[in-house]
Amino acid sequence: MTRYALRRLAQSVAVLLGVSVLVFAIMQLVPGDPIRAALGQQADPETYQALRDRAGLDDPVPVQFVTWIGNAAVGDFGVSFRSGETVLSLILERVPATLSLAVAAIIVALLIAIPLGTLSALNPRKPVDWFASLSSQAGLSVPDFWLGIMLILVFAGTLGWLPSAGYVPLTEDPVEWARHLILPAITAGVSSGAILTRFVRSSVLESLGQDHVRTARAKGMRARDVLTWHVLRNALVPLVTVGGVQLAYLLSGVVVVEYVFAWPGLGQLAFQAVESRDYPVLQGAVLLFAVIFLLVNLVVDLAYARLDPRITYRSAR
Amino acid sequence: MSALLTVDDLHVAFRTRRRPARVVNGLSFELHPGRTLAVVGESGSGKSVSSLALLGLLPGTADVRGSATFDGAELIGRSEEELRRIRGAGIGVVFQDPMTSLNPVLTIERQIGEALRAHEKVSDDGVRSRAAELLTEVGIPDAAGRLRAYPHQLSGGMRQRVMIAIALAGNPKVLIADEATTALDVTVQAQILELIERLQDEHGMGVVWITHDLGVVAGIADHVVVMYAGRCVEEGAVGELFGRPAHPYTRGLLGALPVVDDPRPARERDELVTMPGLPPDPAALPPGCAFHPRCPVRADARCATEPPQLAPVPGSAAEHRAATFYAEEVAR
Amino acid sequence: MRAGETLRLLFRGPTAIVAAAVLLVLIVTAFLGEQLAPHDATGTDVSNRLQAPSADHWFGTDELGRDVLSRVILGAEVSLRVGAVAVGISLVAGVLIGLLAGYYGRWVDDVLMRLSDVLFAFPAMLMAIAVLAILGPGSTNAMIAIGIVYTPIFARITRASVLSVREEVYVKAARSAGAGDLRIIGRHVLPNVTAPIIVQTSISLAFAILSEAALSFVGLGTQPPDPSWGRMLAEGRGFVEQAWWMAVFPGLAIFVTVLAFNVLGDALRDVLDPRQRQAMAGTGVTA
Repeated sequence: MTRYALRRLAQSVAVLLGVSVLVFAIMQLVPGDPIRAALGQQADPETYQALRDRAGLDDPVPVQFVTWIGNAAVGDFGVSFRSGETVLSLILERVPATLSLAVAAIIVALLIAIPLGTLSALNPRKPVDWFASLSSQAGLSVPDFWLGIMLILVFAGTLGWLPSAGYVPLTEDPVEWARHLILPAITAGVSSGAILTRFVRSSVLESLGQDHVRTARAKGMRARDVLTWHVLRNALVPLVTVGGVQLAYLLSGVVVVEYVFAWPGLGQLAFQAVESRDYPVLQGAVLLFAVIFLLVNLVVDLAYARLDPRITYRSAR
Repeated sequence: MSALLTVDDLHVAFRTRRRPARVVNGLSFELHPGRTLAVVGESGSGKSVSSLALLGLLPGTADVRGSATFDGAELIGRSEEELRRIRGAGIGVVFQDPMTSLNPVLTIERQIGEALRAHEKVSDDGVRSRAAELLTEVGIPDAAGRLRAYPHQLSGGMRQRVMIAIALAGNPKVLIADEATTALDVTVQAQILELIERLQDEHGMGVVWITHDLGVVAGIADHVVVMYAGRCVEEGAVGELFGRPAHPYTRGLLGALPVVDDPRPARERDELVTMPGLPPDPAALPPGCAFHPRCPVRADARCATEPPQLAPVPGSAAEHRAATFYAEEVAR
Repeated sequence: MRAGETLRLLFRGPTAIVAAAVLLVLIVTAFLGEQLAPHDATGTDVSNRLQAPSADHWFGTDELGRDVLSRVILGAEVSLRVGAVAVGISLVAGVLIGLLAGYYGRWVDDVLMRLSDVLFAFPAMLMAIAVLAILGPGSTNAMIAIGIVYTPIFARITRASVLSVREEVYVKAARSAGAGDLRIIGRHVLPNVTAPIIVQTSISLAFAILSEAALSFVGLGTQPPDPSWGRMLAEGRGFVEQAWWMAVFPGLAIFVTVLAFNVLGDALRDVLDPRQRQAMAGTGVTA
């Protein structure tokens, strides 16, 4: 188990190194002078020079890279070209909003996927299966930004039940936090729900055909217990992996949903950084997303090894 | 003595996209308390499907007809809940492959405990001590320690002992052993056979032993049913059936040459005696005797048109019966 | 499998037929855009602004009085072109990389596959945005960005297929008979990877169109006054309370197009590559 964990960790570190080279390259690849591009021609020369020095742009590229990656490793991603605040503080400010949205969205996705996928596997080629397959195709194909606008139109506009945009911190007002969270979470969760529905269906179908399910029935167990403990339990173990990948994607990839709902998360931050050519912020955000993605994948793989005792066995042998 | 389990004219067909696959076609047998019945046949002969049909464990695409009574009560057509009460408590099953038949992600204790809890309310401590007792009873050393193990941490023979412990948990009157030793090494096979015989004596269970291996049957069975294409083609007390097999198929299984006047050249006959070919497709059973395309005798025009009925074998005890037109010649 | 047989199997069920019909209509619309549009798609008419759907303007008019239906019709061409070019880039680059990695193995494989691991570590949409941050906004750059994002998936699929045929007896025989690398790749390897690549192309087209719409929606893709669906949706978003039709119809157009490519891709997978269904189920390759 330990050897497996170490090997996975080493792999992730190697990929992370590649990722940081690419992220570093963003600043180098911008045509012209990135600071000039960000500040415009009329910039105050002192501010300009201060930012140039802080970003170390006058050093040779390899020196710049080593400095940058060394700083990044201890959480120093530089300062914003715009506000002069450190990138780290800008990122930390956005974490609660992003975390709320990602967790709520994955819950929405699982609430769709587990019942729908299971029902469709238990009734293959019946109307419910057909409905599940159609809705999962639709969920995959619907543009999330359009879905968001439609939900706003109906639930915030016509019905007036929920706020159309914005974020309220949980610590400030839990009820408003939840009310603001519902529409973005549904919008972001639908496509993950669609992917997971297909996965749950095939996983449950495979699980249903296993010999040990027959054993469980032959013991005289109730159908419901067989379904819970022998079909679903075994089918959902691999769901940890796929669900984890979806969570990583939701933590980092819902730029457009955040944009639609004016949700002050990390995706918004990255997007605003692009619009305002605030390259250090963009670099920090992109690097962070990649780290989150790698980390979640790593954790998921290790958790999977715990949930399925056979994997531990194989690596220990 | 009345029978514990009676199967009468059982039919099972699976609905498929094309014609239905008729897997069991009129099977009948009786099992008495404390006795061992062996059901023998190649894979695909319908022997396992029959046992699953009794317990209502076949998928929804199966049509089951006929009758099967356990302890005097009809099983076929019973409600799922009524069948559930019989599974494990009335009739226990040990399946072929103990690796796949046990759930890989649950502990041994949990899997035995489920069988205990399915039929009565038991406390956690009660489950633990009863599960440990059961493991000891099936010959697993350090039973208490093994309870926390997962199936993959045990050897094949140990896993099969766990399967037997699970089957015993509900104190069944009938134990169905479905190819229970097929996946095991020869030495382990012998140990498992011995274990089941011992448990049968201690508990007074009736045992249905389903296997493709007549060698396994010889030492343990009282009565043998030989199946081919979903039908019983020969049955009788083990001594008679082994001593005077009357059906060419039984002869084939025993690897013996049928002694019959055959007009064909010896070379051709020898080739056929090793039973070439496969059992027929259950969706397209041949007319007449289902065995006739592979039959080394087949000297009669009736073979291809008229299915032979089970009839007493001349010169044997009344319970020795065979479904062939050549019982007398083959059994000679 | 022969092409005729493949088509017959593909169009067994009604869903694939409907999807193919929808795509056919879309392609025709894209080619005949100007002729089909009932009104001038770029002509503004302020007196006629924000009109609800009517007999004259089936999909209503926008804030500048332009006919929404005409703009949706012209948007088909933009969406399909950007999608097709982007997937074309991924396809060519990905297959090339996958062939090199799979066929030559060793360090070439290591380098290329680690590189694709690195690209996989970025969420697709974010990577497209980062690329556009470097290249600047615009529909050409959007094609390049989307093309880069979906290259690794083609590379992986191709590599996997190459690895599975590389050790086949007939390929070894061809090699020992002195056939050159190019000849072996062309004759033995490529035909084997066609099926999964066709399937992936259909699915990638769906995601590429979705990505283009998303990028245009946030203002990084197609620029005004070109009638891109994503752009129209962004404009309609501001008027959603007064003029729901401005946001509903372009979004429906994206939805139907993407759905059609996805359904067709699924049907193709069932026919051409049944094994891949399982393998692809959990990769989460979405926009």
